[in-house]
Amino acid sequence: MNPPAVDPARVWSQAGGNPARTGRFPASVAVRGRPQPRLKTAGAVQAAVVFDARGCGFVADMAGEVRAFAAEGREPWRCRLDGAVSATPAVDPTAGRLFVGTHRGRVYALNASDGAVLWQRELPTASDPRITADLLYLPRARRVVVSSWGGRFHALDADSGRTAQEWDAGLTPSAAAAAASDETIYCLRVTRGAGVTLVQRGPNGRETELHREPEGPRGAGRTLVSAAPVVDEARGRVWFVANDGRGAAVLVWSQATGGPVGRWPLPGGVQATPALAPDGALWVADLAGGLHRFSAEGASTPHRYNTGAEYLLAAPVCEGSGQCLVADPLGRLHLIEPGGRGRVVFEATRAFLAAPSFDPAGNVYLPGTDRRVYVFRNTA
Amino acid sequence: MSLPRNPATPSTPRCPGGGLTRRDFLRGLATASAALAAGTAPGAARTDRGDAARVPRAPTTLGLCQRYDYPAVRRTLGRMLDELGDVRPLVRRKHVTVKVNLVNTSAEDVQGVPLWLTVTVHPVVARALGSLLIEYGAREVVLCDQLPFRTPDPEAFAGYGFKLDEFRAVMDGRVRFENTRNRGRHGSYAWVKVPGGELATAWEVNRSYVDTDVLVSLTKLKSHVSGGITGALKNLFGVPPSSLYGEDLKDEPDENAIGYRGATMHSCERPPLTSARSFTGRSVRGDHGYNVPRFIVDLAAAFPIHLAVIDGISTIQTAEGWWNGAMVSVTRPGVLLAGRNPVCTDAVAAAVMGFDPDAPDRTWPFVNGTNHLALARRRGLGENRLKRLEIGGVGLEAARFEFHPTYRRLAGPPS
Repeated sequence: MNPPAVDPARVWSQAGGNPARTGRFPASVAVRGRPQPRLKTAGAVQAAVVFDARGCGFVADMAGEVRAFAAEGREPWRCRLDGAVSATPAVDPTAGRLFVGTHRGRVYALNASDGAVLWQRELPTASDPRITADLLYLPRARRVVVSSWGGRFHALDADSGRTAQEWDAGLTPSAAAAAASDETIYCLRVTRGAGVTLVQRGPNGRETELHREPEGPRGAGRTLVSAAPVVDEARGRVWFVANDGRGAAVLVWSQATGGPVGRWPLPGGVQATPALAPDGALWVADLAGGLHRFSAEGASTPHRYNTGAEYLLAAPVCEGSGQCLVADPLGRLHLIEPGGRGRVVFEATRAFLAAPSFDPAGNVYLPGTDRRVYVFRNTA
Repeated sequence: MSLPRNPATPSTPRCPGGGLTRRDFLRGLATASAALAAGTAPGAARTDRGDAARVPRAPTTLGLCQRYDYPAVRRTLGRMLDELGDVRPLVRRKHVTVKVNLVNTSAEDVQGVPLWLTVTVHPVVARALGSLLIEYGAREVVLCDQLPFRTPDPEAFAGYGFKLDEFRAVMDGRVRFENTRNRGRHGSYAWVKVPGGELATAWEVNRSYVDTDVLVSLTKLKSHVSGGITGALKNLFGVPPSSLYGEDLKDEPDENAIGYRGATMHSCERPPLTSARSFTGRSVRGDHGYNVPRFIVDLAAAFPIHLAVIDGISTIQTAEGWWNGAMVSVTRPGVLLAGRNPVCTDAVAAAVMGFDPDAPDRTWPFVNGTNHLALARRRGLGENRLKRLEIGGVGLEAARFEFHPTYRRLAGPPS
C-alpha cells in the first residue's frame, strides 16, 4: 500500500525548505520539552537536514558522511563521500534522488532509497574547488544549481550531472541561488568595481541585473556573499542582503516597481539566509547577535531580539503561525514570537551552525556540531 | 584523567634558545656557512636523528568552554594545567614570558565581528592564564607581541582588549605588557642561534624572549594559508621585530618601524636588516608555502616553548586574518588546548580541527606548502603523529570540531 500523499509544501527538500528559500514551514508547529530521539552523525553538522516526501531525512556532515533516517527512527543507509559537507544538500522528491556537494568540489547524485551513487561530477576550477553554497534543485527543469569557490554557478542536468548552463558567481561564491516557481533564478554576486549585484536569470539563461549595491569602502574582496536571496512570490518581492565588509543592508526588490522598495542598514554583517514570515516580514540573523524582523510595509525596524550570542551563523526558520526559530553558536535554540519576544527553549554543549528544518509532520530537526541531530516533536 | 609527568621535559626551565654574545653568534654563523658551503645543511644530522631516535613528546589536554566568561575559562584552564602535572613547578618563582598571538592592527574586524572573537587571543583567556601563573607562584608575567603602534605599551595592547588594570587586578600587579616591535626598554637586542637552522641561522630579537625563565606561547586556533594551521609554533612568527625584519624598512634598521615581515619571511624578496647576516638564502622567492613553514620551525628551534595554550573558543576558519577577506568565516569550536610540547599540542590542535597532523606536504590542511608539524618532528622538536600522542582532558572525540581547511592558493586570495 502506498503511504498517504504529503502536501509538497510540507516537504523541506533543500535549504530554506524550498527553491524560493523562504525558510517557512506552512503549518503551525509547537516545540515543547526535551528533544528526542537524538540521531548521531560521524562529524559536526553544518548543513540543515532535508527530507523527501516519505518523511525520510538526510543529514550530511563535516566528516563527509551522509545518513538517511526514516520517520520511525530506522537508518536505511549511510555512505561516505570524498570530502566534508557544509552546504545543505537538495532532494528531488519525485525521483527519489539526493544531491550533495563536498569541499573537494564534487557533486553527487545519490539514490534516496539506498544511497547508491547515481552519478558524480567534479566541478572544473583552477583554484579552490570547495562547495559551500547550498544546493538548489529545480524540479521542472530537472536541474541542480551549485557553485564552487572556482567562481562559477553550474546548472547540472539532474539525470546525468552534465553542465547545462554556467555563469559568473563572483568573487566569494558562498551564497546559494534561489528560484521562483517558474524556475527563474535569483542569485547574488560581488565583483570588483561593481559591488553586490542581485541577478535574475530566466529559464532560457537570459540574465538581468536587478539591482547593484555599490562596493563598500573595504572593497569587494572583503564583502561576504553568503546569504541567499529569499523569493516572496505571493507579493512579487525578492529580499536580499548586501554586506559591505563590516555592516550590511537588507533590501527588498519589487517586481511591481522594478526596483528596491525598502533598504535597512544593519551594524553587523549577515552570513545566514533570512526567513520569510507568513505576513511577508523578513527575519534576519546578523553577525552582531541580533535577530531582526523587517516589514516591507513599515519604514522602520519593528523588532530586534537579542540572542545574547556575540554573533549568529545559522539561518532562522519560521513556522506557520509566524514564530521564528534560530540556533546560536553558544548551543542554544531560541523561539521568537512575531512580536519580537523570545526565549531559549533548548541548550546543547556545542555550537549550532546549521538551521533547523521540519519534517512533513512539523517535527523540528536541529543538527549540532556535537555530532547529534536533535529532534523536537511537534505538539501542535 | 590525570596525565603522567613527562620525563623528557625538564622541570627546571632554561633560558629559551640560549642567549648568545655577538662573538658567539658570529662564530656560530661561520660554522653554519661552512656547512652550507660543503653542501650539508646544518639541520641534516639533526633531522636524521629526529626520525630515527625518540622524538620528544608531552601530553596535551583539551577542555570545552563555550563562552568567554572569566570564571568559567579560568576554571577550565586551571583543571587542564593541573592535569599536565608539572606547570606549577615549571613557573614557581620564575620569570614568565607569554608570547600572545595578536596581529598587525587592532583597528579591524571580520564582517563586523571583533578581532578577539576571530583572529586574536581573547583577553579573558590571557587574563585567566596570567592569573593561574601568578597563583602557581610566578615571580612576574610579561605578555609580549610586536604591535604596529608607537604608543606606550599598555595603550598598544588596549586596542586588542588587553586592559592592563584588569590584568593587574587578577595578577597581584605582577604583570607587564611589552610591545616587542623593536628593542623596547632594553639596551640591546639578543642574538639567538638556531640549532640546525634551514632558512635562518640566528634571530636578532627583543630581549624579552631571552631574558626569561619560561616561554609560554598563547595563541589562537585558526587555519593558516601558508602554514595550514595556526598554533603555538606559528605564533612565534611575531618574535622577529619590525625594526629589523619589517617591510617598511628602507636601508637600515629603524626603531620606529612597525611593518609586517611579509617581504623578509613570506615572499623572501629581501633579507632582514639585522646587525649580521643571519638568513641562509635558501628560501624560495615568492613561495610562501615553502618559506613560512621553514621559518616557523627555525623559530621553534631557537625559542623552545615550555607551555603552549591555544584559545579555540571563538575563531575563524579557512585562513588566518581579516586580510584574507571574505574567504574566512567565523566559527565556534568552544575548545581550549594546552600542552608542554608545542609540536604535540599543535598536532592535537590539527586533529581537533578534523585534519591529519601528519598529512603530506601540499595536501589539506597544508595545501599550499610544507607540513611544518612534520618538519618540526624531523628536526627533533616534537612528535606530530597522532597515534603516538597522549591526549587528556575531555579527549579528542569530544573536542573534535571540523574546520573548513585553508583554501588552495592558485588563483590567489581576493585583495
